[in-house]
Amino acid sequence: MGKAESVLGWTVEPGEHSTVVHVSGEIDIATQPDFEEAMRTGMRSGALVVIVDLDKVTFMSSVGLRVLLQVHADAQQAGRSVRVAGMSPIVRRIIDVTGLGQVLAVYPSIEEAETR
Amino acid sequence: MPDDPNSVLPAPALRDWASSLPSFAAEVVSQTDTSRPHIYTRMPAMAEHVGLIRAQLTGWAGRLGLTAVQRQDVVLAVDEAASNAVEHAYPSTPGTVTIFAAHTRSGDAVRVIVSDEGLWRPPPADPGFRGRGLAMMELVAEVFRLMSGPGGTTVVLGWSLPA
Repeated sequence: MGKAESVLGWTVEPGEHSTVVHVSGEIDIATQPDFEEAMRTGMRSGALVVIVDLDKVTFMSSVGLRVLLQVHADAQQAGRSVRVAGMSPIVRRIIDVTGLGQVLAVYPSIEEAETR
Repeated sequence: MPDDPNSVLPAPALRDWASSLPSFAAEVVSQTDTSRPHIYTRMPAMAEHVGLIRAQLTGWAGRLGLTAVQRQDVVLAVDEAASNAVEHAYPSTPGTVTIFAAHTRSGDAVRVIVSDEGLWRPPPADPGFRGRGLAMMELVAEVFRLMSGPGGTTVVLGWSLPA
């Protein structure tokens, strides 16, 4: 039986008005620290708007939601915003069933998250 | 089981495990059809093993005729249950989490049981991960039952196959 350790990759793309955090792979209990680090790195860019691109996320559980809600709350306190864009099917599913689309700013694409 | 002469008896290890569970979960095991594709596995309750549990469930769920959303929900709910065991069951000693997934005898539904032999601690006042993990299972599973006691925590999850 092969190993199936969860893998999460991320890159941060700073821009003039917004910073995009691209995340790929699995956000679970094992990779939660990596996802937190990705989001902290994005926030450190200082941009008023931090967009998290979840298009290439193949798995995400409630631990991912917990991280998103935490950075969303921190950003709001600092007068900044976190926007979720590029949702994969699993991300869309958990945001839909939990109703968190009402809390998190969710956009269909990075372009729309940047311009609205 | 004696009322069904064609029933396939579960392997002894499965029977022993089932007898250690709360009665509602033991009953679920006795009403499954282990002659069809099923999973019965035990893993160290460690974060790096949860991905392997998901991979096994993904393979199994893909053979059942579930909808794409149901397959996703099965993997998500089992991940939440297993993560809960990893995070909370064994604060100081190593332990294991057991996964059993099978068709019901009637063939029109599937059941998954996730059990550990660790501690139960009540959810903290902060509605953090634990609360959200339980809420997620409740949202995506058609059947969700959880029981905790001195012997550990047992979660039963269920879905109906599309007609």
